[in-house]
Amino acid sequence: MMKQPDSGKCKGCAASSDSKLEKLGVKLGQADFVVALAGNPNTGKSTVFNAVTGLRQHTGNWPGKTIARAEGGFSYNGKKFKLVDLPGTYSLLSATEDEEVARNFILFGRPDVTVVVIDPMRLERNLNLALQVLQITDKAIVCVNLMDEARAHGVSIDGRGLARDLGVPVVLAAARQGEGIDQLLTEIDDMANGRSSCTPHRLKYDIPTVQESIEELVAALTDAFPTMPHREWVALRLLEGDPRIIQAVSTGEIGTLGEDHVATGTISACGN
Amino acid sequence: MEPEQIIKRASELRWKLPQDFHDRWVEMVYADSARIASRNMVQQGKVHRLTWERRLDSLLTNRWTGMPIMVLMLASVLWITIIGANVPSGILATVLLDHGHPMLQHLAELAHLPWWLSGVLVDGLYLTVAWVVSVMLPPMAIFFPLFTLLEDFGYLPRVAFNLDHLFYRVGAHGKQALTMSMGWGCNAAGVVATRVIDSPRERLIAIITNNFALCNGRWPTQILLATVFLGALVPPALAGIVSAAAVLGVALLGVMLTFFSSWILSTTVLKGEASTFTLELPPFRPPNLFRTLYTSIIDRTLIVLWRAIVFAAPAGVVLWSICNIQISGMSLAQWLVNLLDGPGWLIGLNGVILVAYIVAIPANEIVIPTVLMLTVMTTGMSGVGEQGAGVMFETSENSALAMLLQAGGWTTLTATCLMLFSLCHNPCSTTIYTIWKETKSLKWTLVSTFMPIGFGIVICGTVAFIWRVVAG
Amino acid sequence: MAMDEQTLIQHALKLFAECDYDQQDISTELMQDKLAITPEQILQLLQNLRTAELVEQDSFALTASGREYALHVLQAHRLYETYLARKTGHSESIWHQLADEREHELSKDDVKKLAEELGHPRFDPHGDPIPTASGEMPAKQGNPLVNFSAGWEGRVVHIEDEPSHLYTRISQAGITTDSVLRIEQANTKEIHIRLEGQTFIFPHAVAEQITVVALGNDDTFDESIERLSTLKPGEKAEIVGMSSLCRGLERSRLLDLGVVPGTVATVQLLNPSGSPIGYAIRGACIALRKEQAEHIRIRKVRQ
Repeated sequence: MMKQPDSGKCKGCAASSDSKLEKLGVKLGQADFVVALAGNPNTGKSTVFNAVTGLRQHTGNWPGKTIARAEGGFSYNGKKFKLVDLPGTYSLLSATEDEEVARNFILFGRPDVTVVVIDPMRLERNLNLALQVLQITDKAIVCVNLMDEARAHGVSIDGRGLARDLGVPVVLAAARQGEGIDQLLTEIDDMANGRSSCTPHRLKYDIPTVQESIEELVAALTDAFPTMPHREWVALRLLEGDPRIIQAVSTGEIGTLGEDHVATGTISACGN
Repeated sequence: MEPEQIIKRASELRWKLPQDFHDRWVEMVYADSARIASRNMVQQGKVHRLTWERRLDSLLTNRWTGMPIMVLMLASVLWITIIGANVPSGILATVLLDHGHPMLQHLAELAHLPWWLSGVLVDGLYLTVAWVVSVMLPPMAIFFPLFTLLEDFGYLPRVAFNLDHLFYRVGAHGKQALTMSMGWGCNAAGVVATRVIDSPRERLIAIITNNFALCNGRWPTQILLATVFLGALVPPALAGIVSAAAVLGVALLGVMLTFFSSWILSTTVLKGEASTFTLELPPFRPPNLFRTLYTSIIDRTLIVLWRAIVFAAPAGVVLWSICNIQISGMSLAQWLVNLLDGPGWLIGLNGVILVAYIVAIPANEIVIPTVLMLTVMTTGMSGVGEQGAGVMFETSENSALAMLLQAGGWTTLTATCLMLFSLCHNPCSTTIYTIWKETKSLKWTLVSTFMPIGFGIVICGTVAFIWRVVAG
Repeated sequence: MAMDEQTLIQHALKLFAECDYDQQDISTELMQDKLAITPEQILQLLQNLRTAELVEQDSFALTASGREYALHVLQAHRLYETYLARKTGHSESIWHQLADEREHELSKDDVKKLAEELGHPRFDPHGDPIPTASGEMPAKQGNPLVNFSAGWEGRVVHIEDEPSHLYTRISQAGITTDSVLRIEQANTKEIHIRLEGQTFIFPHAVAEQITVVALGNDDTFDESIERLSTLKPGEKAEIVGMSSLCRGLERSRLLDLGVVPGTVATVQLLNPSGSPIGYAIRGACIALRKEQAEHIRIRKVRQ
């Protein structure tokens, strides 16, 4: 199943991943792993951040409170983790500044784990973002926060079912009460160390008249960048004319994204 | 295929995409989301929203109750802030100013510091910083937690919802109501709060106009002038009402100017900025009292206070220096006062006030003490402010204050114009710096800085002109 | 309007290219009308164009280099209009004028960058095709709305943006390049059209500006489609789409919030001043201004 990453290779992998993250302004310091925190505005993302790191970041009952990126650290099982709180966004498709920050961080920064915080009361809208995240990373965990509020409203969530449908670990939590945080940490640790496998739900792009174009581009991309993950997604962004993705394709950057993970043997078991 | 060819091929294929391709894509993701959601979520019963939430929502946004509740809430927040800050401000002033300052002077003497060094450090730097801290900290430490509680509870989005139609008419966003109210506490915090406005044009409008919200550092100036000068014009029984009405009038003028300048901005310089409206009304969430207190003090109060101190410290040095550097037998401050007396007269003010505003750009809190100090220095009065040139002071005796200022040539016109000027002048340097940090644009920082002072010059100039014509 | 010679030449070339595309004959009257210049100036202009070998010596046809130049200006104009529509807050009544001013300043490189930034759009906000760098454009389709009589149903494909007072009337009615409409009544003066639960009466001069095509096989005029702004408390609606008048940042934001076909919406929170109104959309309460709600097409669902 899952190969334990060879320590020698992993160092190389961490180094190459370091340089990518540093380009995005993250000072890795002593951290062994980088964890990104994504989610809709107003899902208690900052509360999760605070619960995990112990920091006291302001959490307003406002859509779009945290704009500046916050970073914090925590240790678990003897490893040091760096947690990066991405701007709260509804989507990764609209090319607003916030969304680009979040999208580029997840896609080009290759964090070791991306945690998507979702609100069970507005599940459809939150899954919309989660599904988009799952298109560009294989190492994701979905954290259903605000379970206390959901229970008060008579809403219950089938965590196992959700995990099965999404193809990634799902943790039910109520960060305000500290509920589920331990489990979240365990899942983060397992995924960062390559102990858990995942096969994220991939969207089928069955829009008539588009399928052929995508297939053609996917074939061309596979040919040019054999190790590249998420080819369909890249093909779609190329079709839509996303300037950042076009740039990444023309410089070949897009092709290197899969490599460091392939080197450790994690990507082959995890995804696609 | 080479990367460049792939890109070229993609742009050829783009012609085959349906025009609503992006829509279809989002629609498809939503279809998947909905399918997954319905499989894994169970809603017990038919109640989608709790009854209390529905009732509260309609109460807060109702035609008859929405507005009164809003006015009541804001008024009580301001009232609690102003009243509640008195005691801690007094304690801080006693400790830092009445005891701390002489003690430091004494220490400087014991250490045999040269007079100019102890002047710059103790009378300039320390005194100014201590002043800013004692006047600024308590109201902010009360105002921000209260405001944050309302915010965390989810009340503020309802206010934006209620008031949006007013802001829409001037091309602004309903959420500006909140950044404006936040500005009544502190403009710098108000500018930071504009982050909740996610439309570029409306956010810039909110940032640029925030200075018209009378901030914490200016309320005391308004109250003082209204009490001493305007209240004194009427019989004592009416004095309280008249001065309160005058202060309220200035604050309301600020609101009107906010709307007016928003309208000007949205139809001129900002009309090309992208604009969108989204306002989500989040569910009510009982705020966590302790955490709210903690985070609002860390996030808002201390950050703003720190910035103010950073800016106030050098200002204290400058203030002391201009009062003590002598050129041809006259202090630099005196020279400046004489130079600015003419332009000051034109807008109903005087040289002392203008110099005070230039020096006190870091914090509005030190305008009045600086004015008093400069007045004593320029009139050569004795009996008050005897600590020496460049040492700010304040007096709690309103009659003494009136006498002092009248000796400095102040009239009701001066006080009226100063109240107006205090509303319409450049933002303090903390706010200017914050605007720069938030917009990253020199242009908008300059506009935010000079637009209000332009308004101030026009308004004060007009008032002074008419006043003098009418009074003969 | 005073124009320097260069600008005038560019305007003329654009006009020639547009007429070519529309298969309309160029005459001196047309030039006089569209370019607002005197007959003497037209003679001078034609002479200049021919000296520069942009127009054939013996006809009004563009030469190869004239055509290339014209398509560049056309591309610059239409891309810039698209840019204004999507990325700025300028009101649509001044797009044309701003693009007219800006098109002359854009070099080939600028145009290329602009096209990239916008994701290589194919149509401008009025439904006009944007030529590619190599000058390709899809063929023109459709006929003016006035050509049709009562009972005809079709889809709008293009709205002429000049003169702007006529254009404003059309856009204020919420008619746009993807509207499906039915002609209720047509007489010698006016034409009554029905769409999205409302009837609009346009004089011929206005209807002249609207180009329509017949409906395709899987396309029908649906009388039950209305606008979200007409939804009342207690009623339930299924969203069927968004008008193309809702564009740029605003459109993506609404899509992301769940304003997609199939979403059920109800009125959750009324506003004493009428706007904005809070709609329950995908579990959240989203406040939309009246203008926004008018751009969202719905079908009311019986409970």
